[in-house]
Amino acid sequence: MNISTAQVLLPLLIMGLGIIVLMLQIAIKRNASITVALSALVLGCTAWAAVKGITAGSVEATALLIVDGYGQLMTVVITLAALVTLLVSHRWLAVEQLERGEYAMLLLLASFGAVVLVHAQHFAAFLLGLEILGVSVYSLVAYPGKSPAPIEAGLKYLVLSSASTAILLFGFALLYAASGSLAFEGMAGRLAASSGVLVAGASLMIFTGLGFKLSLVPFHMWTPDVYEGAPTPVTGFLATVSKVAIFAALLRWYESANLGAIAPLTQVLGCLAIASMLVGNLLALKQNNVKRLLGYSSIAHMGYLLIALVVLGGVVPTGMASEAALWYLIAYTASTLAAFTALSALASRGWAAEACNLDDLRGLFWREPLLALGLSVSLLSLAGVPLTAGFMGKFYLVATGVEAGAWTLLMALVVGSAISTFYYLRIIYTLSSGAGEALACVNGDRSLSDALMIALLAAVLLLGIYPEPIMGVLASVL
Amino acid sequence: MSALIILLLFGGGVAWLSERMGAQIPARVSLVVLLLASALFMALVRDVADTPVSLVSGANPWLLMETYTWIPRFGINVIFAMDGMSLLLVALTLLLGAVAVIASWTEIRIRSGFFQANLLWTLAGTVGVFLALDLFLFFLFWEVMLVPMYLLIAIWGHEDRARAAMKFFIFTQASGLLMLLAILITAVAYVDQTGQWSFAYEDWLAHPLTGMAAVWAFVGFLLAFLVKLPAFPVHSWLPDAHTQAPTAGSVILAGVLLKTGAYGLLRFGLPLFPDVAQAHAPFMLIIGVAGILYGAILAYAQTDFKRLVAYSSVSHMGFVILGIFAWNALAWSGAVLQMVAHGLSTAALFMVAGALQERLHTRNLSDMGGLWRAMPRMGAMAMFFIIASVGLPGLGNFMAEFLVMAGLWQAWPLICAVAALGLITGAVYSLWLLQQAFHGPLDEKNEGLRDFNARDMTALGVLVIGLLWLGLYPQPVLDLAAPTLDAIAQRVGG
Repeated sequence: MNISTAQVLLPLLIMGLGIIVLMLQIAIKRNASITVALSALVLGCTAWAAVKGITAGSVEATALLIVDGYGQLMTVVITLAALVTLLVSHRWLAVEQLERGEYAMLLLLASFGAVVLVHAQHFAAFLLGLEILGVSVYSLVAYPGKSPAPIEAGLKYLVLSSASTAILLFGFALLYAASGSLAFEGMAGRLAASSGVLVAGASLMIFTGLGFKLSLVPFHMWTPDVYEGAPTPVTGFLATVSKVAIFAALLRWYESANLGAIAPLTQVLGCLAIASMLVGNLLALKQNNVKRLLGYSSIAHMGYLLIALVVLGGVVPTGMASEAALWYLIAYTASTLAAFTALSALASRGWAAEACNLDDLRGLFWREPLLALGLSVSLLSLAGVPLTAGFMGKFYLVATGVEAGAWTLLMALVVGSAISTFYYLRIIYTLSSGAGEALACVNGDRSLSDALMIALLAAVLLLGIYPEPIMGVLASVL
Repeated sequence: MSALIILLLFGGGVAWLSERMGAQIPARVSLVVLLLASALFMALVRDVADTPVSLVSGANPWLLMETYTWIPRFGINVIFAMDGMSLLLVALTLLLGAVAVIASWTEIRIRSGFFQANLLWTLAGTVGVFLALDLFLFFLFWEVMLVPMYLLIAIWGHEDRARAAMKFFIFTQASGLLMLLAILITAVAYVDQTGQWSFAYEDWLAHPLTGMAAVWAFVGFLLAFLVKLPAFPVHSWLPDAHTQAPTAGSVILAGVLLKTGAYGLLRFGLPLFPDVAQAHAPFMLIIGVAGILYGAILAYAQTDFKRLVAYSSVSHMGFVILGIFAWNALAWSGAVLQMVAHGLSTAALFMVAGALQERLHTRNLSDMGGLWRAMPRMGAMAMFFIIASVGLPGLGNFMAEFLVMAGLWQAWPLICAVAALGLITGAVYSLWLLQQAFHGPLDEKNEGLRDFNARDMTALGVLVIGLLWLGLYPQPVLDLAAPTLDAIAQRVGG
């Protein structure tokens, strides 16, 4: 490895090194503040290095990893999301008296897995990243360890996720049998030359495995339970970083293997997309727990996102599909993270129980205006109301769909969004309605969560009002 | 023009903050903001009055135009433009905005700052809809004005507000998504033709859509506009929303928001898809007539003051649909006049309804009766506006409906005859309303109610003058709208 490769690999190196330093720090002297500060520093530096790297062009670091603008951009998204999660958790950990350094450690490891995933150009790296991410997230989900709910959620996630990884591995094996290599590069040519049945079977198995992780219908059963049981900041992390990284890696493989040309596969994906949009939104209607509700809504959002994948490299060529997918990922991350940040700040300030029932939110508009505003705007963004990041995302997806003439998918999107308006508005209505029984408000330092909320709110609105700069970045990395 | 919208948005923020100085302050602040906005509007319009050539020539119907670059990736610009029709509707918006503020003066006691902020933001969104000439921007304002309106209904509405607000939002949001789809169909077709993105109205006019794409795009736009209008059978959100909204909300909904649908049809629906729209005209006329009769019959069956007025809106807006799809300049000018006249008269009736609710704590007609004796000023005002909405010659609504009928008769005499039935049924439910509420024996418990004060009378007085002016000397208004309508006529061959 020479110096220039090392320079390009800087984000990965900083992160790996940072994790080791963090481990040593925890071993030498346990101190929550130092751990958090150190982890924040590592994440910040990684994000900074990745921002620098976006324009550096594409370099094959090893046979496993490719470092390019696309990967660096997703690294920025992942590390920033992890940073937000870390800072949000800080307060929650203090309230729950769980301030042991392992939490930050696991969070960093999970992000490291996610970063490896988005740089993967070989299925070996893909699996490594996926497992580093997955194993850390199981532990994070079950981290509190005091009440049964997180443990149940962690166990559920562990079992189903391992099963899905097994299916995924079987898919990899079939792919290897079909094409003789697991590298992404040149896969399109090798696949075209090999047996169609084997390739279709392999890709279907891989999609089944990833469908679990992305919680697409019909592999979505675990989602609401895990979302509800996991600590709120971890749910936010699970909903954003883990899905974004997996989708970004999937997109890279999908494009380089030109899977859009395999008609049966795109048909199946289309069905998955429609089922996710409709089932996710319909099941969200009846939820009284906000975390469960957001779990179902994330199923629907993954369905929307799948539209970009289905039309990518389809019959009518569309140049915008991957741009649309990336924008949607960024918008979804910002909005979802804002929602969970608000929920978790509300919980640690004592307004809502950890489980976050809808009734706990009653009348909070008048007591916690900033958090309620943040939650409302993020929900409006998820619902796709203009001037928010989510609207531009929907705009991108619909434009792509229209270009490709995917009318069935678009109609499902319209119907799904119309349904989703109902449950998002229900939360906003509850926030603005008269005050109910107030839980005791824990007084404590609120400046950190306020600052985070303002930053995320600004991000969601800026992406919606002035999207041009990020659109420019997207155009440059694709 | 952008300054006008920014002033309203910013004024909303100021009104919200001013709540800290006292619950009565925000209403004053927002009245001042609206007066400032009106002054700004006057200043804009005065420049136009100095150059009357553009009004007559018709070559360039735009009196004012502003363009800023926004999202070059998709060729999206911020384009605001004003012609005679949007000038009228913006003026109506500002006037009814002031009326709405007066209507909320004593009614809203809780969180009055946030109320006034939402009111001003709704108005800003509506003004944006009337001025935007980039379809992306138009859609943005179209959707964004929903959110503050939703909050107005959901927070300050009456007993069944949650359901009504939800229904309102979902109807408009779902149809709005179809419009987004339609906008993107047209935009992508434009890309196919020219190789670059644009959402500018005038660019789209230069490259019209053809074939099935045009039909689908038109249907998308049409549904969004019909829901807003509202037309039978997608009107069902309206009675709930109007009834449950606070008075100021009802005034803005009925007076201004409904007009955005009609405006959209005239501005975008017809000129962008002339052939498809004309092919659908007979169908749309039937929808219009159905709306007139259905609205009238249901209005007669209501026992709730606001619900009755709400259904009468469905009926009156049916005339606007007839006017638009009668497909000639006479009927179009009638439709524009009807938008303004109906805005004035219905806003006034909702204000009366709100005043009654504030005093009697009921909207039920059977609890009223004989109120004229208790509140003669309110009674007189109610009579004037009820008679106006019946269509008494000499008042604006008569003029508008007459023009629509005259235009319609030239093209579709049979439909015109059926629609004329609506005038009779309209008289029946309107007079029924007047009689139930204000005539007959006065209930003892209703004696000594507070009559309209000078503030209310001033607000309603302005509306009275407006309706008289529209009825007796509508020519200036017709002259204002004429260049717009001529341009449409040239485009679609009406």
